[in-house]
Amino acid sequence: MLSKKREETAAQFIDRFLQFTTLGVFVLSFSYGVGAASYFMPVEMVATMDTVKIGLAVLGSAIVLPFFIKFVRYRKTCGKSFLDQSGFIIDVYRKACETAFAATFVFLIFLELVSGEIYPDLPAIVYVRAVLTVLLLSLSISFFFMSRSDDEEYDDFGGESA
Amino acid sequence: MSGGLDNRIRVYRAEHRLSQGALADIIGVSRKTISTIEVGRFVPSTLIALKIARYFGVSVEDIFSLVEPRD
Repeated sequence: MLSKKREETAAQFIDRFLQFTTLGVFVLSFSYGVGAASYFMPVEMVATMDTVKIGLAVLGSAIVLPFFIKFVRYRKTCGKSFLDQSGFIIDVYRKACETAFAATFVFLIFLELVSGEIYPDLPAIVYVRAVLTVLLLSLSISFFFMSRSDDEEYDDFGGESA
Repeated sequence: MSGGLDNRIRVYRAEHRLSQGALADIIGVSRKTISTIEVGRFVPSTLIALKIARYFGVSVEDIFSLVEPRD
């Protein structure tokens, strides 16, 4: 049986910080994606897509910002040791970063091969937005996939944690 | 168990009547970290393994062991 909600420990906060930061990154990736796609849309749709892009950017920032402020506060009060945490979610985040690096690298190679052939006159900002979309999307999706809780066990053995 | 590492944390927790959350607080990790170590999904760092062993008053080898490959 679950007991009354306890005070959040540094380890629990780091987990939550990474989970919500990645959620914000996921939303931001769509903002960049919409920004890149708007170049290929008819002119009358560009204004709408710009609004969607800004809305998603604000939403993503709104998800991350409260946790970022709390993170800075925690770091000030707990000192350097606060960043020396280790655990499952931190491990998953590192692996997700590695996956995102690999995916972005492959995408850059792909762009390098096709950019001159297919869209030689495309502005650099479209490429930058496309790369950011792949980077942030691969980071967040791999994080959510690797941290899913399908085989987790929970037991209390008398609920001593109350 | 994935990663070839078996563990007896659940057994020791049961002996000490200790929840995952309580052990996590003592060790300084999150409950999810303890639960994923127990099911073999996460291989803990040396530091976490040593902290768990020290709390239960046993050696690391008493809690963690390599899974012997089957022929």
